[in-house]
Amino acid sequence: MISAEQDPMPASGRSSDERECALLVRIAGRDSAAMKELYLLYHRRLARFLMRLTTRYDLAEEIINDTFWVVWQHAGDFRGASRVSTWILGIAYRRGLKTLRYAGPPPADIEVEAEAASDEPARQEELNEWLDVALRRLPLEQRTVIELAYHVGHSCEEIASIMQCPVNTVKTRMFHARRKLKTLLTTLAGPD
Amino acid sequence: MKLLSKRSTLHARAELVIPWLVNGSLPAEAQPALREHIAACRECREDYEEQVRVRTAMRAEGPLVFAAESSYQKLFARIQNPQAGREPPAAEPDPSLALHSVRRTSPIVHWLAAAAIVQAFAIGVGAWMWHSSSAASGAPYMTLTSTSPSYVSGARVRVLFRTDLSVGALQTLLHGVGAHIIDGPADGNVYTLGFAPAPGSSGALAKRIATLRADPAILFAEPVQNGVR
Ligand SMILES: [Zn+2]
Repeated sequence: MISAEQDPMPASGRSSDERECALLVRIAGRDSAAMKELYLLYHRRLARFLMRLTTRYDLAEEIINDTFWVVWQHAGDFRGASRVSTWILGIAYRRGLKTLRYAGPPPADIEVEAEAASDEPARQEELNEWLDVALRRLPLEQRTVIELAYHVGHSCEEIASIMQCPVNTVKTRMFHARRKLKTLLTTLAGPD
Repeated sequence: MKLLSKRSTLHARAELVIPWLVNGSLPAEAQPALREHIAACRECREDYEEQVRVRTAMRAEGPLVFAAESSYQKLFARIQNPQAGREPPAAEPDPSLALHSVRRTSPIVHWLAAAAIVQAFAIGVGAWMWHSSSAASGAPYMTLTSTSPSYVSGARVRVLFRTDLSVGALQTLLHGVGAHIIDGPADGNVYTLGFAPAPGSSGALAKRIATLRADPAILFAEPVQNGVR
């Protein structure tokens, strides 16, 4: 459960990580107030991550609660080999994959009607509009890497730890994710 | 020749690590050579700029409405009673709950707060919602009931419906608990229900809320505190 992989910690994340470590210590001592605090601290982040991972709104809550069930049971096993966030996201990732396996294949991709925009939108605005659709069409592993890197802000090494794969695999997945995303966004948003 | 191969090595490296330069997690010592290459290489510069835009878009999430508190209560119940039977994982994927695109409309849209729902991607269990970047402010809305309910005050409950709920199913559902929609959508497609006749006791209200929560078409149902909409 605990990753022993190298997990460099940016100074900015250190104080929040110390606070989260302290919560884990209390949780290991069966402190439900600490459990609630950590849960509420992570709920939004995990909801967002899991919906990106699974593209299934109906599964996210169940996976979050399964993840924190593991946290409740195994807080005492946490050795601080990684950031708390890396540990929790790793659990969520594996629970997410497991739940997806039980839940069967994702629903068929929803066809997107390419409506002609009345005004030429700004590039960033257009990107915001199509990004979710495009991300949904990436393979799960690529979508996960890009979400962890860009939304959560994890390093290559941390993502490797969460996804339990070599660092180079993370780099390669990100490389392909970017290429595919570029093609998808061009197709979806139409020519400039 | 040597210079060229050094450049192509840097280019190959930059192609792989630009995202981590963009998200700020690349070690400081690795950055100067990379930045120097990006400044000089048009392809990498364009890639870098594109990745900055993608990251900005991914971080600029719309209001993500969720009910962390009620989700925690479910977990807390499990912590307190670990032996209680858990619901098995969903056997079949439910396409209606998949991430909908902003352009996708659902059956309920035509009469359930059309503007607000169209701008939202979807509604989900635990009441998470992902909005597009477009502003929802000023979105017109209408309530479900054309006949006005007979009560004016009393117990109120905030609910979130599934987007694929049909008109008939919704009417049946509301009728079953004696509820009417009296306001909404607010805070991301959350509707306020009132009851007619009003429940006579807090126990009776709790029972109706339990009925609402048990309905798969209701994604969450929470009592509204007195005086608060
Ligand atoms: Zn280059």
